[in-house]
Order: sequence, then C-alpha cells, then structure tokens
Amino acid sequence: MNAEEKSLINKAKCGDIEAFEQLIEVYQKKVFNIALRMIGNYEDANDIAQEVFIRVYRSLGGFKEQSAFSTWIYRITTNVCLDELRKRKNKNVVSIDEDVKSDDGEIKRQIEANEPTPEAVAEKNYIKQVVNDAINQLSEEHRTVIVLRDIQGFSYEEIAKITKCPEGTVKSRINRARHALKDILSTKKELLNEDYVK
Amino acid sequence: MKKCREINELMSLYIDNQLDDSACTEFEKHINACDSCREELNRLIKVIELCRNVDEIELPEGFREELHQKLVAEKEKLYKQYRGTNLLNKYVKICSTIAACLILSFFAGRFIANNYFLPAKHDESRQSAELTSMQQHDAAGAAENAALNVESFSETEEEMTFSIAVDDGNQLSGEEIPDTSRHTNANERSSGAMLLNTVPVNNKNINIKFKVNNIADAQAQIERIEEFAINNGAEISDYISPCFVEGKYDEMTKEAVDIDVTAKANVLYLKVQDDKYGEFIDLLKSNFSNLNIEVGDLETKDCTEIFDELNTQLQVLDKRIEELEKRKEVSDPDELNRLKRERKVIWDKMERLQLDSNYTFITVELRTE
Repeated sequence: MNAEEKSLINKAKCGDIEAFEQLIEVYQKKVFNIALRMIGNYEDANDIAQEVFIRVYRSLGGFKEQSAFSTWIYRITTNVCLDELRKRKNKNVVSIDEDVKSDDGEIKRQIEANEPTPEAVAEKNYIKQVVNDAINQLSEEHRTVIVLRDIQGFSYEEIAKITKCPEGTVKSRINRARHALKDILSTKKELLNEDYVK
Repeated sequence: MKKCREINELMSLYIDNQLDDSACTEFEKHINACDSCREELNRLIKVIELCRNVDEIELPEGFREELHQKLVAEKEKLYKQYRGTNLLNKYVKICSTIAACLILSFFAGRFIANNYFLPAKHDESRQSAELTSMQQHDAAGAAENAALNVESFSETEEEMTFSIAVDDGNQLSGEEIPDTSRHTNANERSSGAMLLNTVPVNNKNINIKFKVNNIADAQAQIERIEEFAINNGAEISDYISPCFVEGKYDEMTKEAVDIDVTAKANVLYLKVQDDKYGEFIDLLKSNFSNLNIEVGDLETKDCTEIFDELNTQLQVLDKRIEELEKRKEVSDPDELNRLKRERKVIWDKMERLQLDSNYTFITVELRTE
C-alpha cells in the first residue's frame, strides 16, 4: 500500500467522500467486470458494483490494513456477488433469456428479442456470448475461480487471499473449474475445434 | 509413469507454470506418450484462451454519479443512525442515573426522617438535580429518537454485523455465513465501541486571511464579513475546534478545553455545515475579491481515536459510579460527586466532537501588513 493510498484511506475513514472516490477510482472497472462475469447480467452488475462500494465505504472503519486494500475490495466484491447468487437460487429468479413454463405448455417471454439488450450491444460476438453462458452454468465456487484466474488474471496467491482459501485448495479448484467449463463448452463442438479458435 | 488421472489433476498447474522441473519433465513425458491426455490438455488450453478473450467492459454511463449520490446518502444515514443509537444509549444511561438518584433520595429521606441528617446528602441531591436538568434537553430528543429510530437502530446492528463479517472474509462457503453472522452479532451487540467505529468523527478547519490597510479598516471589514457570513449560511462560532489549537488536541481526553475566541479583535471564527462549505467559500471569495484573500488548505483531523478513548473513560467512570451508588451508605459522597462531574465533562466533549463533525470551521483573520 503506498503512502497516497494510505492517506486517502485515512481521510475516507473520516467520511471524506471525495477522498473515497479517489481511492476507489482504480478499482471501479475491475469490480464492475468481476460482478458482470459472476452475475452474467449488465444491469445487475451495475447494481452489485454500486453495492460493493457502498459496503466498502460503510465498513472502511473495520479495515485493519493487514491485507492489501485491493485484496479487501475484491474479497467484498466476490462476497457480494455470491450473496446475490444465493439469494437468486432461493428466489428462483427467471432469466430474461429463458422461456416461462405454464400449465398450458411453454410460453415465450414478453421481452422483444429483436431489441438488443445493453449486454448484447456490448458483446456482439457469438463466441464470447457462448463462453459467458457457459460460465453462468458453473457452480459458484468454480465460477469464482474462473473469473478471478482466467478472466481477471489474478495469481494463485492473490486468489487464495481474496477467497481466504489455502493455496492448495485454490490450485485444485481452478483445475476442476476449468475441466467443468470444458465439459460445458464441449456441447458446442465448434468452439473447441482448432480451426475455430485462434 | 504417472496415471492419466494424476496427469489430469496437474494440467492447470502445468499450464500456469506451477510445476517444478522434475514434475514438469514427468508430465511432458506422459503427454507425449498419451494421445487422450494430450487432447484433453489442448482442450483445456483452448478453454483458457476463450476466457482470456472475454473483453473488459467499460463502466456503465453515469456509474460514478450514481455512486456519488448513494455515498452522500450513506454518510448522512450513518450519522443519523449513530446519533440515534448514541442518544438511545444516553437515554438508557439517563434513566439508570435517575433511577439511581431516586433510590439514593429514598435512602436520604429515611436518614432525614431518623434525624441522621448528613450535609453531604444535600450536595448529592443538588448534583442529581443539576444532572437531571442538564440532561432533560437530551432526554427529550432521545425519547423522540428512541421512538423514531427503533427500526434504524436494528438496521445499524445488521450493518455492523455485515461489515465485521466482511472483514473476517469468512463468507465464501455458503455454510459459513449464518454461523459467522450469528457469532459476530452475539459478540458485538453489547459493545458500544464497535458502533462508534463506523461513524466518522472528524474536525475540519480552514484559515482564510484578508489583507487590509489599517486596524480601523480591519474592524469595519470584520463586521461586513460577519454580516455576510450570517446571511450566507455560516454561523458565528463561540469556540474553535480544540483539534486545531496546538497542544489542545492531545489534552482533550485529559481535561476540559476552553478556548478564548474573543482574544483577538481582528479574527472571526465561523462554522459552516459541510454541505454548504464549498459554496460559502466561493461566495466569500467573489464578494470580497477586493481584499487580498489567502485561502489555506482544508485540514481534517480524525478524532475517532480520541472519541473512543473518551468512551472508554466514560465506561470506567460509569462502572465506578455504579459501584459507589450500589453501596447502602455512600461512604465518600465527595468522591461520587467528583466522578459525576468528571463524567459530565466527558459527555460534553463527546457531544462536541460529534456535533463538530458536521461542520467546517473557518478562521478568518485580517492582517494589516
């Protein structure tokens, strides 16, 4: 942690919003992108990232500076995302992409398909969409490590600190997660075909 | 040679260069000899490539603005909740003090009835009366807050539970959450000190210097600035924050600090609510642009440590007062009175620190040179 970050943290701990905004500037994009890949929805990722920074602001007084500030922010980010995913599991949130089943059979959702969602505008590429969908099918644990390691590029050591897991656990979890993702993507044979990806 | 299953488990470590030389050689030996493992490894590498090609998306439009508004609201909420809980705690303290006083009065009455009149008891009753009237103002506010803030009070606890749980970072596996929060909640519910930690207690000060031609001119200007300040959202402060008087900050926990703000005729002490501060300084600058204005840096001092230390002292005093009052006969009424006076001083200091956190103090100085 450099002197400037430390000074900003101290000011932010006193409630200084401007100092807090300066402090989080470098983390905002990454936090939003982690949320986007974990949750899989542009609008919700916006809300989640906002929630992350509010919680960081609220609990800054409890930040003991034993870990790096960045690690602490990313830990809160993954925790907020996991909380949201668990909440959804309980509520059975219907994805806007899914069809709704009724007693009379399957009915199409009301949202117009030809109106591109912000997410679709941001990511037109078919392959990327398929990869995102595959990541969304992973378990919470696997999704977390795939997002942190293969999308965000964190080291094994950093992931161990963010998830508060022993490094050995992280290593085996990453391997299992990649195999699981490969299994999901194997259904789209063209993706793992050598000619397609390069 | 290693079995395919073992090789399978080492694939990610191999891809990420986490294997040592000998393990790496053995791994490659197997891969070169085993078609199915080689294919599996290639598929895994492709999966990783696909993930790495996922684009980083820009922040949504208006993200920062939305967050800023939420942060401002959050700051306000934290402060209100804190005031609510603090006043509620204080209210409980006042109630217990009043109850203790009633019990004391009851015993005092019995002593008087039995002609065991002790002059010291008068002091005690007077002290109680003083305390009670002094606290009536707070008690009224507290009662109101107590009624209004029952919901926000429990919210505060929930939030604290959350922030502690986050700091522990133990939320990752689903099974851990309920246990962690229950444990933390039970531990922290009784601790006032933890609640204090979330609330920013700070003091802010800024010095503004004007240049005038002579003393008579200075006094006339001071009056003009004073009038201007009052009309534009500032208040005349009858004290300046001890945090910005050399040496006084450290003394604050030890003894009462009173600063004579009337000592200098060419100095004006103002305070402005934080949200009006920027606008006020701009107005001041533009309105008095003919005077050579020098606006110093805004200094912020974190008073949380002092606040916490005062709170600790308060708890020690509460305990000692409670112990003394529990005894059937007050063996040392002078000591009890002294402790109560000490406690009042600490209450006042804490109150002042909290209230000052909402303001920016401005010292306006007019110089003739």
